[in-house]
Amino acid sequence: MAKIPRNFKLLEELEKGEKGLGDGSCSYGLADSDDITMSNWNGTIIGINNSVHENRIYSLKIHCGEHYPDVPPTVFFLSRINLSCVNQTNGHVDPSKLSCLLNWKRNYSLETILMELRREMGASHNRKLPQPQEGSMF
Amino acid sequence: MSEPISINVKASNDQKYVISIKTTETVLDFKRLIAEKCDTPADRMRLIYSGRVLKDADTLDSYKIAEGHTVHMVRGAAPATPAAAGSTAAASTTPAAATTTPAATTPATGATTAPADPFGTGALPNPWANMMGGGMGGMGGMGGMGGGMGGMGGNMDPAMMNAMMQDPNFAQYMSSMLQNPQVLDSMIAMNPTLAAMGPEVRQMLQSPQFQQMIANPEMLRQVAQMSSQMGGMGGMGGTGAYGGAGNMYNPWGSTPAVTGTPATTATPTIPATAPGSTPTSGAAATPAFNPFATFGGAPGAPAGGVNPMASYWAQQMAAMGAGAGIGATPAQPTQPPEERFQVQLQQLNEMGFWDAAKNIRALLAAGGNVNGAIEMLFSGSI
Repeated sequence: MAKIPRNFKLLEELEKGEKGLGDGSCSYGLADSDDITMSNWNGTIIGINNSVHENRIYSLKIHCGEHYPDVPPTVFFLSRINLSCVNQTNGHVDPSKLSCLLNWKRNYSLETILMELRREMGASHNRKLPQPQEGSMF
Repeated sequence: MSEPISINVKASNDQKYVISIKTTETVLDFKRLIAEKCDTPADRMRLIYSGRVLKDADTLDSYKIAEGHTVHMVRGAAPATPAAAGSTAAASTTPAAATTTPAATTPATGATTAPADPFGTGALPNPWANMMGGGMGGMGGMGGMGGGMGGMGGNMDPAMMNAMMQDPNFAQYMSSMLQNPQVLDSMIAMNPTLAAMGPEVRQMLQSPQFQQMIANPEMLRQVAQMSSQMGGMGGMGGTGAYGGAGNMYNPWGSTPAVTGTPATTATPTIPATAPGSTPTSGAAATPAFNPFATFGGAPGAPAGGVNPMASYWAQQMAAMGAGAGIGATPAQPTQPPEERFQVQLQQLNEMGFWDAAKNIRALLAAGGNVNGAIEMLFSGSI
């Protein structure tokens, strides 16, 4: 199968984000729509129901380097959140602790990461973690 | 840029709206336009577009929203409604402190491995709900509140259930629970169909007749027996007897609707007009016409009437009882369906079913079977 070049892949993701395909629990788009390199992205995750995250909206920034999608993007939480895979001082999502970043595949997308982070919120080892005040930022 | 563009708004409850607006307008104006089409007030709306939360004062221009793009809408937490997690805890801990009798503790042992989350999953699929319009649909929907009950049912011994029901403390606990406005609030808030029914629900739940029905162990037992018959008949071993009828896709579910048996058709109409009298009518429906008996051929089992509502209540109560039990044993892992069906959800997602809420409903209805869930998604019955 032919490798999809970085820009094609990101354009596809951009369109998907703008059209709001997906289930609506995650959203993402370019931080700066004039950025032709499509490097910096914003993402939001709506907290899963039946958890402390319910009704919360978490903002993230995602940086897709020039080797994306061969290498995973770097992901930072902007909203404060207490998850085992998130560095509590700067919000950085530790790639070694999130399986989709650790075992990154080319066909993964930004949505894959956001969805996995959302699932992490409901994972048993994260469910009981005390969460910071809603709206606080890193 | 003075041409109005149309923007799709996708709400978290699957609703979609198309709003036509000029991009020079502010986000607040946009929210007001959305508020005209849905029941969420503008000040409780939170809009998300391209990974950003839209701020009221900004114009749509500044976010570069264009024709045909989609904005997600999330309903902000209302200050009056207690947070879901909080109310669940309250519901399960308060009564637990009151009843340390076998009623509350026995089921707990059966349920420790079960993902019993009594109020957690409000919007479960309910085969009955579709089939009875209006008010009764709402009542039926309550069965869904049983949450992880399917799993629990599997672990629960009917004998335990019986013992629990015979215990006067249980009845007392049930009625005290229903008198607790907080519990009612959380029940109603969790369930959109209930919420839609308005104040009558509360009235009904608190009405003395209803309490009486709950307090009557005979009634409950019958109901439990019946629902265990039904569950067994559905051949849904995985979910167990009590869960079967309520939470599962029940192949026999449509039968009573088609044949229009007296019992099933009579119950739905009554609560719609006189909510206060529901429980009595439920009891009245007991004289038995039991279409399930013919399928299951469960000999010797006393045929309870076909009263879907009552059977939901039995399940509901079982779930609550379990909830109380759990309250007594702390550190009970509550697994929401998102977690339980993580793998299946991912599979569905990869297949192009993006609507997680729908997927969860389908999976719950299919007992976690991906193929079953797909069938339900395609058939549009979810």
